[in-house]
Amino acid sequence: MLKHTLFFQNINDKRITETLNLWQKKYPQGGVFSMVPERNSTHSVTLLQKQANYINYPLIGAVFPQLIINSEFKNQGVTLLCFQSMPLYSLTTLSGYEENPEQTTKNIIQPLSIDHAKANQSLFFVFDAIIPSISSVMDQLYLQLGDHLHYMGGNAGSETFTPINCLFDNHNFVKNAVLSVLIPDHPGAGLEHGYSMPDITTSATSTKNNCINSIDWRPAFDVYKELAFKHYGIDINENNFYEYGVHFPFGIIRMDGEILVRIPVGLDSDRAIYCVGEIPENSLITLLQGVKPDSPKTIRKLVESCAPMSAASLLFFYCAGRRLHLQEASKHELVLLSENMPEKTIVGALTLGEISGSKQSGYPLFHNAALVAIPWK
Amino acid sequence: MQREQILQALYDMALVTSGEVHTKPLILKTLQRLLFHTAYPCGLFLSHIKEINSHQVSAHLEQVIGNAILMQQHHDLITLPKELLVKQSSLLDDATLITNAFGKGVNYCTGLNLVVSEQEQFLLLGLRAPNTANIFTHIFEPVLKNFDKILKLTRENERYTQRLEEENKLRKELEESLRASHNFLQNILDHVPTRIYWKDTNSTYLGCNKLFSQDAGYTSSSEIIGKTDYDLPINKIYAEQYIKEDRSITQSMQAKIHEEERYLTAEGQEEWYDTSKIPLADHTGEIITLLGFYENITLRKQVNKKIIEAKDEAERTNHAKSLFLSSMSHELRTPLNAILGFSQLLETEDDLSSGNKEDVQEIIKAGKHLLELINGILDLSAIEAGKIDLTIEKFPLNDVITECLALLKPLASQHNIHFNYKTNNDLVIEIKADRFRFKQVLLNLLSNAIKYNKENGDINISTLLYNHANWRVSIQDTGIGIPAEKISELFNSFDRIGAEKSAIEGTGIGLVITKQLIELMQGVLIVESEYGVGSTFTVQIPKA
Repeated sequence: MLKHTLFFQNINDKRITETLNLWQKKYPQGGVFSMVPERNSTHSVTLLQKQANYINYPLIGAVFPQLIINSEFKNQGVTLLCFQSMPLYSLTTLSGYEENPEQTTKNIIQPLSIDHAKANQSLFFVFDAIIPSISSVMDQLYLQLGDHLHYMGGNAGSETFTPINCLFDNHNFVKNAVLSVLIPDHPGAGLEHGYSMPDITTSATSTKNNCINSIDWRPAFDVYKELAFKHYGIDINENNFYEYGVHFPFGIIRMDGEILVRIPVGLDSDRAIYCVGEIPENSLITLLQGVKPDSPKTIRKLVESCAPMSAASLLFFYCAGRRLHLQEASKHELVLLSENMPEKTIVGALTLGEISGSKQSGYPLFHNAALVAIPWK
Repeated sequence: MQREQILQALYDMALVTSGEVHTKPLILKTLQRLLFHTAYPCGLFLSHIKEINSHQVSAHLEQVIGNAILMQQHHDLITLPKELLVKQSSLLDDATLITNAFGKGVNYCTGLNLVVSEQEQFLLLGLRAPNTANIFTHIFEPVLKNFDKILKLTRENERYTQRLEEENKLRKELEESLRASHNFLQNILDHVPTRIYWKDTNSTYLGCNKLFSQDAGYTSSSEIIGKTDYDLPINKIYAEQYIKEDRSITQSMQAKIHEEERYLTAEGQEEWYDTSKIPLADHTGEIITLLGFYENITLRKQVNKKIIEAKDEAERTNHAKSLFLSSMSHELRTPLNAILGFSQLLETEDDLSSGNKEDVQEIIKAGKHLLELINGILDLSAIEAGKIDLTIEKFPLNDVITECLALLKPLASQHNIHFNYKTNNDLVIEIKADRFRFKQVLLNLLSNAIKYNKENGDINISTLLYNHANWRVSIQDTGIGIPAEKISELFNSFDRIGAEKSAIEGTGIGLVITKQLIELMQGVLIVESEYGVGSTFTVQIPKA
């Protein structure tokens, strides 16, 4: 039986070429979505492009910190996902987004030729994680496209947040861009992070994109340090900030109770905190204690949200920050997921930010510390 | 929902709304934030809500987020059921009402309308009501009131901005037109071959043309602006003089027009200028500007001076000549009278042989010619020296003509020439002239008409009242005529234009004297001639 999702431990495996040839024969109008781990990514992508171009087979893909195969994390190899019919896609650089957001958004949308009359379409995004305005781009996309599409995706790049080329197709391998794929007849994704709303809230009183300058009109790091000590007894300072950041993320609280997680990843000389993903100014934020390592609740809810979706495989994004926070327990979450979906092949990657529509409305939201499950037919 | 969360959301909304000065982003950001906080997927902002009938209202779909079908109606005027846009913020749970209101493809089941004002509402739509929807109808009230005020301000601001932009555009067009007009005027001024400048009442230069700036030693007229004569590279004495003069003109309001001014350059060279300064007043009559212009007339002055010197010299020479001729003529006439007198006595001697008698007659003839010449020269020199005395009187023209014809009839008979003169005795023609000199004029013209006529020729004499103020006497002969190119030489002294080579006697000054005498009597001599056909000399003389 022809498999549509395959992982190869070795990028030089000859079976990659054989698989591509086989898929091309079976699906001449098809193509490949490929996931490559950060390690040796330049070599891997170059080789993949060469192989795909040799047989003139459409290729798109991204570089992630690590790959996921069923219940394991992999830092080498390649995962290939077959499109029986190659969807329309765009690979758009976002370097001029701040100057002209409307035009940049049009550049993303135009190649997708979206038919607004068609129901059940999903827009799958892979952003370069170093882009500071992913939420704004999603807002702009929603302004132009509305709620009849399902929004989903994850961020690619290096786990160290060093800018690297992380998005590719047959002829390009770029950074600071977004790969957008319009997948027809698709039910969208399930997303869970398992964080619940604490009692104590504060206000991000000065922010710019993904940087919190002040909380309650005081330098952000000072407040962060105080809160961590007061509620969790942890003395966070400039030296151990990077160690503790993943364990004490911020939560942006919406009035409907939904929480958007923001993992702090950087600190500057003005004691401002950089997060993965934007924080709207005056957002109600809170300091979240990470989910318990044995929390099966998150996985159970994710499985529940995926239950109506029928597919042989599952494209699964797992937040790299969450893995850092949960350490070995993150693997347990993968095992739990596999156990709850024994019939499905689970392929995925560690991501640096996750995208999905709001549970209640479908409004695209940018998350951290989340798990995204995308059915792959 | 916690109280703190609500306050935070309201604080957020208040900041979003109060941070905008333009209507479109204000509505868009507020709607985005409402969707963010309430978790509805679709939001509309409807303005100009107006009741059409008891069931329907019309509204302008000013902003829409979240629904592709409604986005196509963005900015349209849409018709909605009245129940959908009630006048108080409320939750909508009638799925049929919502679906029917927007038609196919807009399949929302619940909604929330947030009333901003009578004519403006937010309408949020979704598939299911958010968890905390029941409080949304109340908590946004202060935000919506605030939004209403800011919306009014932004709309007003945009109207003012638009008006300001229109005014700015108009002002720019006017400035452009003014600049073009100014450039055009400056272009004209720069091409006028006169130095032009204008100053304020403190003698500060406000502008000038190119020639003036070049004269003052500058390359551009703009370099002059703001300077006074003290700043220009001219002698301070002149600067002081000019400024004093400016003050005098602006105070007296009396223009100085075309006055010649002498100027000594730094090198000591004399220059002359024709200068004018005109005080210009505004509509209240107050002097605001002093307009000045001048021309360098040094060259013209030098030429004029030479002309005057040459004229004086010519007059002196002429006067000396006249004096010489007068004295010489007098000195010549005395012995000539003796020669003529004794020759005429000798002619009467009976014992002269016929040969000797002919010789004596030749002496008399030559003597008379010489006398005629001397008299002519005396007359001419008297005229040129201004020493001829005329007695202007009123007398009948016909009489003088008749006298002249009688005197010349013997001479005309010698050449078989006939006078044709018809006069109306009933008509008395009187002229104003010196009778003696006028008779001299007619005799000269008539004798010329005889001398230069053909054998058996005719001389037609006619009179004509001309212009009610003058009489014209025309003497037309049938002689040889004068070539057209020679007519201008007719009045040169001693120039007989070729007749000196013929047997016709003449001195060459008769016509010169005739013309000058006529002009002294305020008359005009007109010559018309056709070579080979004859000439007509017309004397125009004032009517009495």
